[in-house]
Amino acid sequence: MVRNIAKLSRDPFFVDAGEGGWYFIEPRSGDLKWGSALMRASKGLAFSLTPEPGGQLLRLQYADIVIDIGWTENAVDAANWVAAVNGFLVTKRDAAPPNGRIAPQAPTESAIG
Amino acid sequence: MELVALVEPSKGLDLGHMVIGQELDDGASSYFGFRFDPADLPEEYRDPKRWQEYLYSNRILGSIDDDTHLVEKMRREKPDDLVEKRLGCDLPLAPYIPAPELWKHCAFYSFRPDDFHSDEEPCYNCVTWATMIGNKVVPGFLAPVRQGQIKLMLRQLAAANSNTGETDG
Repeated sequence: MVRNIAKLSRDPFFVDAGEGGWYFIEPRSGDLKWGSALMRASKGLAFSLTPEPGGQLLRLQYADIVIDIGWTENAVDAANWVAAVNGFLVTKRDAAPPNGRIAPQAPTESAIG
Repeated sequence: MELVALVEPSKGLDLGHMVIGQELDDGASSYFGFRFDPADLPEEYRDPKRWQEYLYSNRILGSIDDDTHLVEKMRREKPDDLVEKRLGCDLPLAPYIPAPELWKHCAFYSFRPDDFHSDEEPCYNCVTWATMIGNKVVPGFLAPVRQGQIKLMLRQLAAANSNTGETDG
């Protein structure tokens, strides 16, 4: 993977992975947005740090999907950020999907505006 | 108030995104986008490197989401990375956005939405959905682009801005 340096921020939780794009966590639902992808906190989202020869690799686990986001520059700050974001995501894991309903198999024009 | 179409260009595996929104004269704003959940992909295609491979030739169910907080954050952090078109309008956007309880799995999602779209089973990506909604509010606001290609929409917005002297972001 490209050696992206991941910049981590809070309020709301956000990762700027440079050429790897932006990872944004919705403050209310805990859902994660990356490009047009929407990853739901209720299905299980967690970040981790993995020691690599070049530093700490920030990794995202969503359901059975693993995404290597990029490297972090400050191991202590990154560990604190990961602990904080995972603590937040745990509170959203068992929450009902905010817009949940039974999915239709054949959506209709009236449903989309 | 203004109707605003906003595009985050793609970068690497980040496929980019487009939203439609409205900014009021008092500074309040709301933005909405159409998205897919990678957990809805078949198991063998859930690696981000394979999302495009599947979604260029298939459809899955997609969902509307409120992207207001995301846009606010992007505008603060990376304003130069965003490309937009805005137009003064008197009509509110809200009546054209379905009620939140209807957002999840409200239509199909594909990277080639034109191939799957019908009145009975609508199919969009973020670009075609934002275009459809924007044009309901202000007819002709955006020209539909082939297969909702984000690079074609970026070209359109850049051209519109160069014609009006506006700047991106």
